[in-house]
Amino acid sequence: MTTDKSSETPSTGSGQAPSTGSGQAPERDKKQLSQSYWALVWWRFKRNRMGIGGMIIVLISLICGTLFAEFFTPYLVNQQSDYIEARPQWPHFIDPDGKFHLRPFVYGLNEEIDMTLHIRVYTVDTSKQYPIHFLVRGVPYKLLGLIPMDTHIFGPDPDDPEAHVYIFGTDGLGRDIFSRIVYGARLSLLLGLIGQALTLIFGATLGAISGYYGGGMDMFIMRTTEFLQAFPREPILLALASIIPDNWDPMWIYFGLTIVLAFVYWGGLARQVRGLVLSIREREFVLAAQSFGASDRRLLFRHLIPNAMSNIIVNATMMIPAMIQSEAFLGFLGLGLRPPLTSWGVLMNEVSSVRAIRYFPWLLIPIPFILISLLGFNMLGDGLRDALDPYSGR
Amino acid sequence: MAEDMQTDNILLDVKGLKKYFPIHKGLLRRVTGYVKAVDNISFFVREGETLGLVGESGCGKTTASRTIIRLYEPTAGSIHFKTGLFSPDGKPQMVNLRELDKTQMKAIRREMSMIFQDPVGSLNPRMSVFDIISEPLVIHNQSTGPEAEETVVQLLERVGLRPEHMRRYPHEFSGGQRQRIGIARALALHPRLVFCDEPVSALDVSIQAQTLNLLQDLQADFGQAYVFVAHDLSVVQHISDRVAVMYVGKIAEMAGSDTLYNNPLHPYTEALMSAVPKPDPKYESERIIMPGDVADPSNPPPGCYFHPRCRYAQEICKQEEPEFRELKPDHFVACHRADELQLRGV
Amino acid sequence: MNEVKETSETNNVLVEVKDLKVQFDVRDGIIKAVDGATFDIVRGRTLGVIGESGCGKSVTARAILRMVPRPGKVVGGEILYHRRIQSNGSEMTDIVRINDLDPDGTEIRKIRGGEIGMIFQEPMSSLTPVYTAGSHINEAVGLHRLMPIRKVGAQMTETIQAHRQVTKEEAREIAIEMLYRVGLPKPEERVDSYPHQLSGGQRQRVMIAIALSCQPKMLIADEPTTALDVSIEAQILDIMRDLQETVDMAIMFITHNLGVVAEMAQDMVVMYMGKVVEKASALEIFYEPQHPYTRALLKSIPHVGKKSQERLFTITGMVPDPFNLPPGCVFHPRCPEYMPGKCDRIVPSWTQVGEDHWTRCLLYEEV
Repeated sequence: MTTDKSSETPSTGSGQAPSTGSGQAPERDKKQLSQSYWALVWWRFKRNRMGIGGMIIVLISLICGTLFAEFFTPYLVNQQSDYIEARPQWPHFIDPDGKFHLRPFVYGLNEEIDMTLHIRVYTVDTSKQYPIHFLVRGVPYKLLGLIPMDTHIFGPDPDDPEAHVYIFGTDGLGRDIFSRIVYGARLSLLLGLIGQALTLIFGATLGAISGYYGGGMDMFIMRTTEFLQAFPREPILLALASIIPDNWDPMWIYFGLTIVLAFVYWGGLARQVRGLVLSIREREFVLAAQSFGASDRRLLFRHLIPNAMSNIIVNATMMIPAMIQSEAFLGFLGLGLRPPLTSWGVLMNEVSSVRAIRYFPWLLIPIPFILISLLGFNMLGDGLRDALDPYSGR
Repeated sequence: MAEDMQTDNILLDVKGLKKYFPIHKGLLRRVTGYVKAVDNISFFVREGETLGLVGESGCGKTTASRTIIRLYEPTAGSIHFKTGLFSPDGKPQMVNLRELDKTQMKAIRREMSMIFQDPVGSLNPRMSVFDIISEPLVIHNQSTGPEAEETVVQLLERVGLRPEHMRRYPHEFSGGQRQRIGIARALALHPRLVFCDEPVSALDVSIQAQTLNLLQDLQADFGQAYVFVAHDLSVVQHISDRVAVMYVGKIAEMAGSDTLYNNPLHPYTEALMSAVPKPDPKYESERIIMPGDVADPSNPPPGCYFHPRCRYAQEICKQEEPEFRELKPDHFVACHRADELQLRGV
Repeated sequence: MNEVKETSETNNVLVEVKDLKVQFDVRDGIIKAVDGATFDIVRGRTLGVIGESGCGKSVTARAILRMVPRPGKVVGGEILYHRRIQSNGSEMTDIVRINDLDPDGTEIRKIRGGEIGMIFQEPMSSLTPVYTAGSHINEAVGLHRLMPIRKVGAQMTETIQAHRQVTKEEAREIAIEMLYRVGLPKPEERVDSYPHQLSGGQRQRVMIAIALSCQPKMLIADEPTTALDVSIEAQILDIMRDLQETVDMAIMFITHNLGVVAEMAQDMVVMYMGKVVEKASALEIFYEPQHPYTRALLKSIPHVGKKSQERLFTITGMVPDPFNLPPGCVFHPRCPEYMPGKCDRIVPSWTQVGEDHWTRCLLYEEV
């Protein structure tokens, strides 16, 4: 069958290169020509606003949360205080007298006991004003675990022992919610990334082998994934997570959890990669390589996987939010990561009682942050997919 | 080509080649039948000549060439290729490709290559032009580094592209240029036999002409033989010395190019040539219209595959498969009535 | 908007295209897909439009039906459709300015399919989103594309009823009749089959049947046989010629295959890079081509039966970059008869070189 020669809709981007003999058409947009596939992908990605937006969100989360959490928070993750379950202290610019301050400040809190409900409540005391200092000296820490520092991006006046700035309030142990959210990002995001890396290595390899060699091995791997995927995801997560012993060192629990997540998610990726390999294998350039006598290894690594790579990356990126979500789900139920580790799941667990939601609703503030990070990964994945797929319209 | 009947310049000799694809049905994927893509064909190619393989969809021409080069494993038949690779003194001898193991087959692939139809799909989009063209060299450890670059530059210039093009990527080239890259790649190791699988079908008319000229020039320079697979009869006639017409997995007729077009012996050939639209508004000739559709290779008609559409069909044609025989010198045909019919050429 | 004139006996023009210009506004610039096309389509005759890819022939066809895909739009010229109507007992011609019609309006929808039909290269090639949403069924039907998941008969009756005042039973009868006319065996059974159960050639016949069941005055055929085998192509061309004679229909036949156009067309138009470079009867184009591109094109095709030439004549160079068109005559860098100083500076205009033979070349112009 002949290919359609009469497609009239002009295509751009695939440059009409200068003619062979007389080069009369001058080279248009040198930036675009002579670029490898990945350079072209980056060029296209840059023009996709959603993808860039997603990338920014992800980068911010990674930088602020995963890498430099200590710097971006006024308090340490497990730093307790006497302000138990205190309400948030919103920053203000205008004081009760109507005067405008350039430096934002928060009002102090007074502790009271509510006799009917038997809980501690805090009320705003406008007489106490604690200005927020930036790049302020605070609790010492080690940046990236190596460099000792004590500067925080913002915090209370270091010379005032009474000053406290709890932007999002505190939890049952008097720990700053804002700081815990940022620290939580570290573990949650890292879990998603490492878990996905494991899934990639394991799932993509098996999928590629399955697709390429076919036969008995293919049948076995595929039936295994089908078997695993037949189970509903949440119950399997619960079952496997609860196998992890409580008394393990928290770090081991963390690794255990990444393996659990990889185990649950590898099947989907394996099937996708297998499908990709099967379809790419039929393309004529693979046949051409075979006709020259290319070895299996060469076909896999030089032809099949590089062409499947773009799809694999997109799929992997889109799976990360699922893993973050699974961790939050497990944490909410008290499985998965547990204190003293702090992740978003652990934070969710602290809101898991009606009492908490009713009287201390600021404990729910982590939720929009989780959502934003999920959104960020999805947007990034979408942007990547559009940039990597040359046939999606443009 | 002169009418020499010497057999010692035969490069490729295919006998009784079959390629059946099993049809799987049902839960247990039992084999319920076969698509007889290539069904007992025999032909030969002499050194340096061009054999055209022409036919409509489903005739098996593409499958045949891919089977000979062992991209698909043949179901039956023999494929003899003349090579000096396996004889101790380097003297060329006919080797049956089906009897070779993987290592030997890989060595043979230096002497046979293929050009593909789809300019977009036949080049790996992730590889630079240099990588694409030098891949055969790399696979066979022929040359690396600056030597390889030298070879690639020469090849590029020979196909009409410029040396700086080798740093570029396939998506930056037009269809015609991509085919040239494919041609350069196919010739990198100076093979003695090149299968051209519809190399110009996806190109514009004016680019077709350029590409066909290029293929002929390269043949004059390097002396390789071509098996030229196409469905366009005028292109095939132009470039081929001899032509084989295929229908549903079998060869209906095979003869010298001019002989075939002027004095066909098979009704299918006659009808096919009559069906080709001639670029001449004054051309008046009664068209022979073949009724119905092209036969299905998984369920071909009994007897002669062509009989339901043949206007000369008789009782014997519905029952017995005709034998492929040499009716006249170098003119083979598979038809019960070939010796009595007076058919019209173009 | 429309002029109404008395039908003159000698005026058999159905569609007039005058200096049509269509542009595509893309991020990298403006592409002049069609840059000044002028030709007529006459009742009962076939106009062949020949050209290679990127020459604008398909866009021109779509412009006639107000179907230019975004981001393209008609930016100049006129398309006039001479519709014959009965008014006060005598026959008048209503001249409809197609380029003024709303692309989504009822007026053009009445014309599309009902008065001007269109058939495409492969009736079921792409499962585009257009076919899945119910609201676009009319669109698909209006364009005579086959939807893969509905029975052939259902699609046909829907089209027929959209353009003719008939009941569902009558529409089905018409459908079966049309399938018979296009040579489909056992039409009463075929009408209930799904498109994927038919071969490519059969699907193409169904497309023609659908297009013709609405009795259009003109059929636009955009590469209808390119994807078909030669033997099937011969059948389809035969059917089209027969039907044209029977219903006195005009055909605009777009192709790149010179053999097909020689068989089908009485009049021809040659396009290059959006411009019509030559217009004449088919005989004159083949036997006395005036434009260098036409001549080169004719020389570069291999002819079955003619003694095989040693080398084919080729047109040097390549189609230019649409964003970087050469100055003056757009063909000059590849032209065997290039005149330096003239062809690279002056844009040739539409010149008459014979009775009803026009071309766009400085060889025939006084400059």
